[in-house]
Amino acid sequence: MVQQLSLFSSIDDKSYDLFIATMNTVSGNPPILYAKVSTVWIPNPSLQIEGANSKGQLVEKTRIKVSTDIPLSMLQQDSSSEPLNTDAIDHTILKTFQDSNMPINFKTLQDMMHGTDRINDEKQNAWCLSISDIPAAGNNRKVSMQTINESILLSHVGSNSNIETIMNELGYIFQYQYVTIGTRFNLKHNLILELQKIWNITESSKKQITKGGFLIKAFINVDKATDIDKMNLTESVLLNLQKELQGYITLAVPDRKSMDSRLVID
Amino acid sequence: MQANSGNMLNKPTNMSLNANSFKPDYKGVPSQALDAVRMRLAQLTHSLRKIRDDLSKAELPQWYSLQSQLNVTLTQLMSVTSTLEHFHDTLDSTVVYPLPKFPTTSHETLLTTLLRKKYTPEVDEWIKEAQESSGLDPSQLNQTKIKQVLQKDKDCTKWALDTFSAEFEKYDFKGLKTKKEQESEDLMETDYVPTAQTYKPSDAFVVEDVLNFVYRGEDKEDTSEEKKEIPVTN
Repeated sequence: MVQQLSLFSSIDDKSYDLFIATMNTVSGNPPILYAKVSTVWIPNPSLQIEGANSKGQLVEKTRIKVSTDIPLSMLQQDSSSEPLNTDAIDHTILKTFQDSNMPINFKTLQDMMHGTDRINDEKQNAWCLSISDIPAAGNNRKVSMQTINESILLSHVGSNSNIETIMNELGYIFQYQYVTIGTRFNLKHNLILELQKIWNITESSKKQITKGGFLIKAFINVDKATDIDKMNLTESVLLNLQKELQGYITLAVPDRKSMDSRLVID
Repeated sequence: MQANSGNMLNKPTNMSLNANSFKPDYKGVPSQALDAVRMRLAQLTHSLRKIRDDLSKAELPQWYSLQSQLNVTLTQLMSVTSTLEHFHDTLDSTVVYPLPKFPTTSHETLLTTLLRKKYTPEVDEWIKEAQESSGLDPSQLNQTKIKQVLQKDKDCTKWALDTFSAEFEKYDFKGLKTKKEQESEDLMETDYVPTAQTYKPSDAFVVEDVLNFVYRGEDKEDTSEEKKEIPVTN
């Protein structure tokens, strides 16, 4: 269980180069390109789930996010012609993804989920399961504070086993999935700043949710929420970044309701 | 008209000899005209002397101070010219003669200088030069020809003045900007603003909309619960 302290902002596509250069200077570290697919699962509505545990406490139904990384070689637009050279792919590739079109398609993601894709065939296909709570309440919060429970699924056994079967056996069914391609900066004090482009990939369509720009997320994970000193330090680190980028971009706390992954109780 | 400039000539004498025997009549002295010219000439000579002194100094004054001095001097010169022009009739018809008590013997040089009617040799030289450079033969000139020449000269002067003032308008000799910059100022500023806008990123979308999708699968433009209906495999 970690506490994630975060601040968000957004920039338009045109500002990407300058922002990368700025963060490169501020952090002293080069940008790192990453891509991941996130699948979101909800409790199977056909199952009867009690709204309370044995102690009579309220149990809320929460989505589970299951994500894994996408090999960067898959980002190349025409992967068929050239031998894949992942070294040649850098953060500038994000500039080519300005609209909803992108090289990863639904079929590939299904294959990854079912463990039948050729790229991950040889490797252990690790998936990250995470459940997040609604961010902490409070009107005068300077940073968003969210509890996240995470677990890594390294391997699974059994005939015809894949992530989907596992999730189904846990009583969860697939709801939606999205692909995140982004650039990450590692700053001091475990501060991570990410620029993300997010696509909603469905069987019939691809749609870029962050059309026209990038989502900026600056966050630090703190192991224990009870470690007050660490929490305070972390908060001030984030606020320092906010202050440093003041007048350029505005890092702000988003509406906590938008970061609520619980199911609507009906 | 007869006038008497004896008040000037009287000064150096300082003699009261025969003071009662002769009463000069000062009524005819065009004192107003003479005073006006005298004052302006005094100013002009003062300015010219100052410029000469400045230029002879080891260290030259700043160019702008020299220029402004020259401007002042030129204005004074113009003032003298226009004053002379204004009192032209009076001064032209004024005849100067010494009073009887003037000590002609002791101050002969002064008297001859003051009463001289011929041009001084330099002035003669200037006139000769001007005549030569004009390319006109004085012997062949009649009244109409002179008028023509003068008219031509006036036209030429007018053209030069117009051209000068037109050119002068095109430049700004004061301030920090050239005329060109002033005129294109608006344009330059509009050029400047967009660059300022591009350097500062603008929000492409609302962060909450993206987060709504990330955390709950809610699509801003597609709020129907369609996605929740996505087929349950298995």
